Amino acid sequence: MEFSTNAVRAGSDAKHDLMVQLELGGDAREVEIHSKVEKKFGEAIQEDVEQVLDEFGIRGVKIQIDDLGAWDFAIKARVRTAVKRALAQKGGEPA
Amino acid sequence: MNSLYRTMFFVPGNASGKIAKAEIYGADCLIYDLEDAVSVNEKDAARDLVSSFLSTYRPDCRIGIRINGQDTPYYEDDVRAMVPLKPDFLRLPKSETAENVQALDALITEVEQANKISVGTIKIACSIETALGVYNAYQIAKASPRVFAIGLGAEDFRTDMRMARSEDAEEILFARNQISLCAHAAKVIPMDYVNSNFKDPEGFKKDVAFGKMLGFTCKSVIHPTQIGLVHEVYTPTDKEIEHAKKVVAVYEEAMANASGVIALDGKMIDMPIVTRAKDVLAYAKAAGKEI
Repeated sequence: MEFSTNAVRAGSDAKHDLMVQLELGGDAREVEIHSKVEKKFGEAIQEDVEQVLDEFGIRGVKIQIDDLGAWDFAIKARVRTAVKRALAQKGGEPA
Repeated sequence: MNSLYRTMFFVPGNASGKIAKAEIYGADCLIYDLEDAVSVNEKDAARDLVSSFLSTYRPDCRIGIRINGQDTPYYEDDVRAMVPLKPDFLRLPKSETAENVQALDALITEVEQANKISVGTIKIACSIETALGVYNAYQIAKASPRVFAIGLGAEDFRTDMRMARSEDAEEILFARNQISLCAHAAKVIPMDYVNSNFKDPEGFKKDVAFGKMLGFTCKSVIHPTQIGLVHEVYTPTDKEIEHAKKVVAVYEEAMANASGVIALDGKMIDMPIVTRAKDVLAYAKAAGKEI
């Protein structure tokens, strides 16, 4: 997935964590998931991401998830942080 | 869940794997750390991570959150984000005066009311980390009915006092004594300091036993291997329990017979001994031991 310099990041490359890259814009949700457990948990990860985007009412967004075996609470938390950072950046406020 | 606070185990607030696993080590209390364990660029992320975890899973033990100090830009956001999660308490670093504690009390009250949480639900544990804080320890402990524990933040205290660190922590003996004395005077829990040398279990155990001798009933820990060692030292042994049972039995028998002098194995038993014996039994029971 290609991002501009406006993209924000949240998370880490530690075990049981994930790295989220996110850029607001466009009129669709584009979600790309990279995970060793994608076959089994890809759908659940996608649902966690969508749930957080719904919370914030985000429609147009590009997100890449690099998952290292994160729990659901961590996936939601990292996406939430990324969304808040992106919104703060858009509003010209410090993240 | 037992009612004791033998161990308060610090869990880094931005480490998802450690947060998920922390409960399995059996500490009486987990403290999610938003302060020293989290870099300044990740304070927002740590708040989101701890919030997400505690909203989803609730460990079967006491829950505390160490917030950032009142002299930082993160303090108020921490309180506003953490109080709605209803932890048992917030741990305030760098508590120096009663006013520090009262300011936190007022902010917690505001957030409790906004979230329809009964006022007074969230308690406060005070970390005392400076010379001024140690000097004011009793006033800090009595500053608010929310305060249920005070403890020494040894590293910051050493820095403030320009002390060199010794292997047996001799230099902080006065501060430990002062914290223990003031905690007992104020009827709050005395929390012993963090000993970060987890690679020396024997030295650590000796340090915990010394703290117990000074009156501490709780130890802050940073490594899972320290938890069992603290419990071992603080939990009464079978021998201590048996002795305490004998003391209480002899005392109760003497009371029933209206005897004047009470003795056990040739030694006089007076009221402080009976009180200590009852404390031992109550503590052992709370720790899950058979009485």
